Amino acid sequence: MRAEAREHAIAARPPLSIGEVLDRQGVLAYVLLFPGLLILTVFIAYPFVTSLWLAVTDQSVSTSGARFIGLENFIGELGSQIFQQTVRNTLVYTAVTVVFKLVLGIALAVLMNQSFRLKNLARAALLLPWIVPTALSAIAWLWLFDATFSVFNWLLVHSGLTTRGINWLGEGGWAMTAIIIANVWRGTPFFAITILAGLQTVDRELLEAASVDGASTWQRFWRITLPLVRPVLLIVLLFSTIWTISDFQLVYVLTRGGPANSTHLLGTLAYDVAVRAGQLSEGAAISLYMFPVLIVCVVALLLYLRRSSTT
Amino acid sequence: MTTTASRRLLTVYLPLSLAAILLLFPFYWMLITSIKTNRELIDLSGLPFWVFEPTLEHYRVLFAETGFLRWALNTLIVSVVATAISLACSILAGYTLARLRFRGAGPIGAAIFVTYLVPQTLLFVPLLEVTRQLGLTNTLWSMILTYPTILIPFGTWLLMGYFRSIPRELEESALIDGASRFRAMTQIVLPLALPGILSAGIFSFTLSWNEFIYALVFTTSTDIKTIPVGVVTELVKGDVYFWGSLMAGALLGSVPVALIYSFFVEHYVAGLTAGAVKG
Amino acid sequence: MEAREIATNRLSRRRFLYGAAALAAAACAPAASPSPSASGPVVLKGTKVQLLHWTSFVPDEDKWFKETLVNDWAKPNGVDLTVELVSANEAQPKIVAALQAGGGPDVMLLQWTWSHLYADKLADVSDIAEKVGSDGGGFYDAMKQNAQVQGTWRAVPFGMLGNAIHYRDSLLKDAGATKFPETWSELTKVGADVKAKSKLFLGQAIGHSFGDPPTFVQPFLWSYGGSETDESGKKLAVNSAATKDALVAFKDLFSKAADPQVLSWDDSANNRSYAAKQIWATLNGASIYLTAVKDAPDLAKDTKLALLPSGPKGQFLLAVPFQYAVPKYVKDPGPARELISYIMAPKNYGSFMKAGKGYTLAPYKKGEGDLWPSTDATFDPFRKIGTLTKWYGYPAPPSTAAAESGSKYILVDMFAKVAQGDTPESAMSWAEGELKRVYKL
Repeated sequence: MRAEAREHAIAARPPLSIGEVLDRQGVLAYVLLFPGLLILTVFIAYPFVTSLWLAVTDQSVSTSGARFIGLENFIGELGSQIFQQTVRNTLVYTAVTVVFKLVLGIALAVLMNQSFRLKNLARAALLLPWIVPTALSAIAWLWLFDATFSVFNWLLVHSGLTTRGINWLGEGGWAMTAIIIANVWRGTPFFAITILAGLQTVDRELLEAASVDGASTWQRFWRITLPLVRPVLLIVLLFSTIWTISDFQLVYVLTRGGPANSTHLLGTLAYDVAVRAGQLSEGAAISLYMFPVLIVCVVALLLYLRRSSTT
Repeated sequence: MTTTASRRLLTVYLPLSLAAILLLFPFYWMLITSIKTNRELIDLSGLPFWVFEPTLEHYRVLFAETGFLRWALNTLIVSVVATAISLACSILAGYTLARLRFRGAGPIGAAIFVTYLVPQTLLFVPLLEVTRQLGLTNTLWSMILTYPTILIPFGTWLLMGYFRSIPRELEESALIDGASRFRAMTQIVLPLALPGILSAGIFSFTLSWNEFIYALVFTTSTDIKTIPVGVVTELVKGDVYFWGSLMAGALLGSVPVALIYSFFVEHYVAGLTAGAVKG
Repeated sequence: MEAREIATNRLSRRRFLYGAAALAAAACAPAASPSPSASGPVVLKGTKVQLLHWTSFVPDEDKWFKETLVNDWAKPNGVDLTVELVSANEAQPKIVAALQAGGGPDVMLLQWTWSHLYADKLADVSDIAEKVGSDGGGFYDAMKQNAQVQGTWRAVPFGMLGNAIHYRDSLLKDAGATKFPETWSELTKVGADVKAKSKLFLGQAIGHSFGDPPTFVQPFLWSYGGSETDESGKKLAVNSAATKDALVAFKDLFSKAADPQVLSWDDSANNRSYAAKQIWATLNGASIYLTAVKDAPDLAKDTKLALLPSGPKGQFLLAVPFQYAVPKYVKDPGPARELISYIMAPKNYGSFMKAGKGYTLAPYKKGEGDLWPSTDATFDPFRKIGTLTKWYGYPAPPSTAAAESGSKYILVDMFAKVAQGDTPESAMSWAEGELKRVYKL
């Protein structure tokens, strides 16, 4: 609303001064963008274009020259059962973890939004899973899910629920469960803290008024709070989807895609093919299969940003 | 009185403890693993949740036989400098995209976000070539200059939202008074945007602190390694994991950061609030 | 065959006599010679050499590189030597990135058949390899296969990690067996007996892990006559009666004697499980035994080592081979080549083996003879590993396709699928489909 008023104010000025300002802005904009764009161009654009080129060639570590082969790498992958399974795994992994992170993140944010003792310390402590380097926390999870020494199994067996522990990383379904647990554990704090930021902008008077009108806690949350924090939910969802779909580290440490490829994600398969097998071009093609989904996310993000900047 | 107290117990402290147990249990596990002797670690007969013969041996190994302190220092330097660079770039880019009207704003904004999508697992091979050409390999600079690529997009987005939330009138009145746009930005907008900048800073610092694959590929000598790379490459030997020291390294590599965060977390939330919600 | 090999070695030995002399005088030699084929004197003083090595399980092996090598070779020769030690799994991204970027370590330690994967980017080191081989009493065939690409040595064999079944002798005896089984079918029977008697399993990793799963699965398949391809490497052979026999026998062994949890195991899981007395036998490098000697003497006393049993087609093994390569991007390979020659000279290699107590085995025959470092008879089976070990892609020569199939764990997963309840037929045809893509057939 305020922005609209200002837009009018600018339009009301004499045309010359608008032109002047625009002109100065045009130059200034590029001056200000220069450092960021420089870094992104040198360190992303160039390697990225190289990767795109790789994907349409037959380059491997063993060959010095590369030959253009069009979309052969992309088409070849489609026929591979490992690849098909990997795509399915990636989608399941992303969908399940993002939903869990969202629900748990909202719950945790609502909880943290109340006042209690040592609030700051508690908030920082709950951020810990997100702060600890994944390379290291994944190793802790490896130990927690160890076939013989898993403490979860110790609990299950000693509480009499099962006679033998769960084969956490050794059975397709359980292995997927295990990496999902570790991912949700790591990602929930980020959801929570960001959603918490959203919750703090919700007008308490509005909630109190609704409460006076007889709305239940649940109704207030569902009808007032949630719609108000929707923008923040959307943003967090999109960013998390992007991160999760290209996840690598957790699986690389916990299962390396096993058993029998039941936990391979596009990131780990691309790594195995490009780095371990030396088929750089094939690996690049596998990575690029992430793009369609990611592009959808980004378009949604940009549309949202544009809409919010014009309203 | 007692009913409200028990109600609070039920709605606040109980769920809070549950959340704390679920989220922090792995840290407790790291802690007790790091002070167990190797024998106790694989002893299945005892209670695994407690330590019966605590030892600081794994910490001794970490400090005396690996370059942990050096790695910590490297991680700190890299994270601080990379964060500073990213913040500077993100502030400038975020301000430009939020405030200035210029040709190409849409495509440039989109391009900055698209860079976010390029998986690191794909980039590190060609990126090593770039760092080599620039003579950066095996220096801290190789990380300081490449980390911003994963930090700038999010920082720009966050700050863009934050700048939009600051009333334009404040800036415009300064412009009318004859200040240059750059002055208006640095003296009026930036101070107001401090919470947002802090949020972006914390975010960037965390990602730099965690980065693994670039740090692994770009560094060679032990005294250039960061904590995640040093701990993983030097404490996993053949088919033997030095669990105690690994966990000690993981703890010491994260808890101090969390403690520092506890001072900033209020601002972090506040910064995200304006940036994300009003963005 | 063997005689001819020795003859060529002798020839090359004469050719390199003056090279060896130059080596001795290297410190004060005047001119550098970057050409790989010339072996003139090399200037070492003031040069920098970066060695990328894996970090061994045995800390004393690492120490040998970080201390002994630096003190005995680098310092006297005035070389600024950097030894970079990284764990086995982290070595490959560094090597690939360095080769692609065209810069990095001067000497890199490769694993498995990587010399074939990266052949175009590695300098010809035939002269050093031939000399090292002849000085060491001849390389084992598998070592040669892994390092030699179409007649040219792209790397110098460094050694291998042998493995053997570690087993608890007392439990074996309790179950009524007098010695460790020599065939797979006997092992299935004895394994079931031990399981019935002591409630302990045979533990064998079949997950995605670099060492234990492939070194178990491939010899198992070979010993029943199965393989990925025929001898030419041009025709797939995986979908065969022999493979089916192997899978049926494996399923039998797995269901009667093994621990179902092993599907999740990485290379380290069986070490822990054995140490915790959860399994009675497992295939592993000497690390289990060496750890036990240090931490649990009673367990060490009860532990014996045996090589993998035979199948109908004989006894096979797959040791993890290592080779030293000098990338082509190295502008002055002289010092790098000197370094390899120094390490691999039997006298120095012997001191390294002593430090490692035989964890890393020599790539040449002197390793099982004069240089054998251990007085512990438990280790004796390890002396036969060099002759029995094969390579990825056997019986065809090593190839990039075989390396790729290994890195995708296709054979390991074929066995894992059967263990998880798939029929041998469906697992075989799955593997055939994936191998078709890999071998581009």
